[in-house]
Amino acid sequence: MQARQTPIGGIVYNTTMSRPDAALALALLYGIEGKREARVASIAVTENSLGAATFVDAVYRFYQLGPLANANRVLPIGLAADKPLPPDSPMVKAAIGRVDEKGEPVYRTGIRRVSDSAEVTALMRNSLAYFYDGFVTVVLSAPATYLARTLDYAGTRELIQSKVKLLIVSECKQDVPAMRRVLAEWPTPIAFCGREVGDALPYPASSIEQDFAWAAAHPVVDFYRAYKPMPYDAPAQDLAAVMYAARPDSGLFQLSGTGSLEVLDDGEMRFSANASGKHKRLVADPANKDKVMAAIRAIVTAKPVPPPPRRRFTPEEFEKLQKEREEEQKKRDLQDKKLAVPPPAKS
Amino acid sequence: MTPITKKALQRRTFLRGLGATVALPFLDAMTPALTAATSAPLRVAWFYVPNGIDMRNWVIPDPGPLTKLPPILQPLDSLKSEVLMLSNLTANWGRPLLVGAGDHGRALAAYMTGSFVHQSVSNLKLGVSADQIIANAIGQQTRLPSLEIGLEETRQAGNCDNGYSCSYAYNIAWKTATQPLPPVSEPRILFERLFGTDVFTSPEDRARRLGMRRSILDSVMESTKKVQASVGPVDRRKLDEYLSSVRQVEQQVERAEKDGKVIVPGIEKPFGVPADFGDYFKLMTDMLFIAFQADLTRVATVMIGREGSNRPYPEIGIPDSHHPITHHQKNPVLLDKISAINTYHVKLFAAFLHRLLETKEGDSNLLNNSMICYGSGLSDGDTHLHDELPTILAGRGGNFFTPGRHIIYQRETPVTNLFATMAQRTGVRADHVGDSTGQLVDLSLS
Repeated sequence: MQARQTPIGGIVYNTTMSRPDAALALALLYGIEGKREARVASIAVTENSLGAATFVDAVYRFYQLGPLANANRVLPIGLAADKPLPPDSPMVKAAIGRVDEKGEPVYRTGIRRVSDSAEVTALMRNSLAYFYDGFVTVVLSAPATYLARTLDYAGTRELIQSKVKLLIVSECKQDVPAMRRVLAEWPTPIAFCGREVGDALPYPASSIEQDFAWAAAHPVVDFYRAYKPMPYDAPAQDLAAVMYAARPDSGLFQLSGTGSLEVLDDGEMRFSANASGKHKRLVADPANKDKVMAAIRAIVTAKPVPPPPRRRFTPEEFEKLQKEREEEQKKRDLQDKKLAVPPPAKS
Repeated sequence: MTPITKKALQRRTFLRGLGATVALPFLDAMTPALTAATSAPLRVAWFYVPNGIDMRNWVIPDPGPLTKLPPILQPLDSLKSEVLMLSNLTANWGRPLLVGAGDHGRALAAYMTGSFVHQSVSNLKLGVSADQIIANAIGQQTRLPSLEIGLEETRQAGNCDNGYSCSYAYNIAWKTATQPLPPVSEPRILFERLFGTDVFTSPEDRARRLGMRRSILDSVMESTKKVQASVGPVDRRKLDEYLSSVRQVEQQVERAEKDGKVIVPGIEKPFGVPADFGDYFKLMTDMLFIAFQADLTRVATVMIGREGSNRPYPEIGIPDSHHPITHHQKNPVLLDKISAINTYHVKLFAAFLHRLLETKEGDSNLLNNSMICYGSGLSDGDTHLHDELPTILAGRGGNFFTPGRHIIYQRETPVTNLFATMAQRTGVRADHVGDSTGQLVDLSLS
């Protein structure tokens, strides 16, 4: 008998898409998905422009070989659009504005206007339902404004409690009331990935220069190069958060002892160790630094993987299946006929 | 100071007779002076289309004023200033998610409840549907809290779709998470639900009346004369027209019962149901019209077919079963047939809307005082997509909505946000409708 496969986990990524490690995190996410280790549950872009969502969609399509899946399988990219959108950043412009010699955009995208993107709170909530209980990790690398809002929706707190195993908060300037609410009310364990994790793990510029040579054009590379003059090493904070979400048991990172994560009045975050705290922090062993970066780099720079071929039936299997279907149809027709018989006339 | 009033009749005046109760339409005599514009009630209804739509001929690419309608919506051309086209709404709980097959059962069940559909043949578990959230709050203000109409036979038991109970595919209205409200599909039963003295007329009264070939209006003749004497000439004319339409409906019901036609060779038609689908649609929606006009109910659902419907449409030259052809695999011949069925439904729906529009109510009309949602829990029936749902909202919800426009929302916006907005318009303060995340914005420009 064939062994039942372990269900695959999902990652929800809420990002401002404003740093190079966020763009690299997309390559990491789709690389992990290509290895069938986890699936991208949803990506929500907040505090950024329409072009930022367009960019994320372009990266998704870059990694998607073959026909695109519909929304029964892959959800659209989210964009918080409930307030005026900022202009596109130079990084976004460099990627989505890149054209070929004929003046055509180099990267395919399906997001040209706000209505092509998804509403972020419904998106993040809806995406949880695609996974088995305890198989989703949420990576928050943005102000908690929209994540906090999902707690208001009927039944969503319970859905989070059953589906999500961990919320990883990647440090950034926070929406103070929203983040305080998440810290107080979020119904699952929370881990903190501070800036120091990224600072200790610089993503090497040499990788950008060399490892993507297989692609004539790569949207993540364009984004990275436009952030500041090359060469520079980018702190890999979101890469660490996503890597831990995908491979929590790999030993690449550890979780600290308990402590308390808090948001200061200026939006900065602070973690203090204490035995009674509810939170933990992500720790990278400096001795492991090269091993961790090699693992991240291997996935980030990997070529897109085509989806597994759809299994085709043998002629015998196909014939058997057809017979079963015909039998089933006959049964249904018979049932329908019985129902179509008029009721006996009432006296 | 004495308030100015010309009110002679109570809004809830009935013509009563043996085994019959006929509510009255909105008459001028029921309106106190100077308050005509504010006294009309709001009606809300849903028309559900099974098996999705040929989206090639439904989608309009750009938002803005409704100028050129897509082919399927052409029958609404003369009504385009009265409808809103809403795009990109989603019913997440209809999706396969972790289950897989069973999209038709889930599509209908999740559409108006916005709830997870528990896969079971016997252990039903869903949520309260939008219409019932409204009916539970305001239903006591009318004789019938809500009306559930279906244009196909109903089944409540058995496995209809990959382990999902037939209850999910056959019922759009759910009073509680476990109690569906089966739609009425027999014209006679609907007629008697509207005009019988009780939920159903007693078999004895019905037999006596039918035996004597008497109209229900004969039973209420005395009481009709009294009302006619107490109102002005305009109201008398309105009352005559209204009673004539009740009589016409009654005659249609009788004709259908005598009609021995078959729907297609080999398939008997259910008792009392007109063989022609267009006649059936008209008869049932004529009764809905009267129910709205006479304020018998303010909440209704109409299932044009059960989800997964196999109804053929020989009336328009399509003898094929509906559901199988919706698995078109992009075959243009099949897609054209689906488009024809979709257009036919819209044509019948448009006739109902016209009737509402042409019916004056105080200083306004019945459509203005209504919110009629037309749509499906599936967009493409071939791949069973539960997003980008085809959705039309007709009526102004009491001069609130600004119709004549196409609005494209962000994707993943729950369709229940529309229903939550409709509920709020009726004055119902519901925290949420299933998985709604708020109200739909931009429906009103004022």
